[in-house]
Amino acid sequence: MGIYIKGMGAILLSVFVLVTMRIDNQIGQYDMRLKITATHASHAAVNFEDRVQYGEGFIVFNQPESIQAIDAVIKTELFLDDTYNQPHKLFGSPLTYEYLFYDDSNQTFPYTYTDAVTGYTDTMGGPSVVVRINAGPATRLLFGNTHDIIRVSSYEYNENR
Amino acid sequence: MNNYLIGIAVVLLLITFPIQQAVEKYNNHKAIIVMKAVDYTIEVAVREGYFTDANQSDLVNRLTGAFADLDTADVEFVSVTETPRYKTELYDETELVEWTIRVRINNVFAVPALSGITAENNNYYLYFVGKMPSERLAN
Repeated sequence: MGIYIKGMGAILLSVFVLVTMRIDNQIGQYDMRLKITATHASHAAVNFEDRVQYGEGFIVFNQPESIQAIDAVIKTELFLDDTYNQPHKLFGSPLTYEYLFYDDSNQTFPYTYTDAVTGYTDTMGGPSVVVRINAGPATRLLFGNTHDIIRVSSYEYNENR
Repeated sequence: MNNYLIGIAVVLLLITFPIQQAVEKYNNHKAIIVMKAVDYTIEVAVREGYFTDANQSDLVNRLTGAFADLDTADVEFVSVTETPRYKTELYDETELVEWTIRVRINNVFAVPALSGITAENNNYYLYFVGKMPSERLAN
């Protein structure tokens, strides 16, 4: 009987460790997806410049078009529905995102951007778009349930494309 | 004798856990590498305006070269833009570079027989679906 109880205890502990590890891995993979999506979203956003301003020698983003591109990228790549609910079972709250436009209408360059929430830093050599995605807290078995998973990325406009 | 048999059974069962943990770690590492590799391919496609044959082959070669348990058939371009799309002044759904790519992660369970899983089903797919404006300039 003693060995049976010890054996069951060891198996349960092993299962717990394995499940915890798998959940952490899944969150890590989703975290990577968020980072890549934020990069794609900011990349998509820098494609749309105001042609009138461009003709006058300034790079100013056409924000309504850029925002449309950001939204489409985030919804598609993260498989979100219209209310931004995440299909990932470890993330219960709707995803939110923010964007910041730095261009010739509001900034001189070089400019060092530092994200107040994550500490992400980028020294921008020219007009850029920053996208911050907040997936909310992930469900973990142990620690970290209260921390939002946030990823930030920025992309710089490249005139020579 | 009874205790001895139970002990052997428990030890055999427990041995599978560290093996499974090693498999989990390897598959997680693989998934992250796959994501970065696919991301690179997407960035190239957006720059070129579509997924060229060379770009598609490059992804397959890089992944199969990096992982011995990945076969050419495991990297599938399910549906990707294969004709040039061009940079537009306004957001235009018809000029987006689109993709659905999936990569099969094999050997999910170290001892599939223990869970009643067949070798053919011992895998899952990582899906990459998306669309981005093309950077390719019209001539």
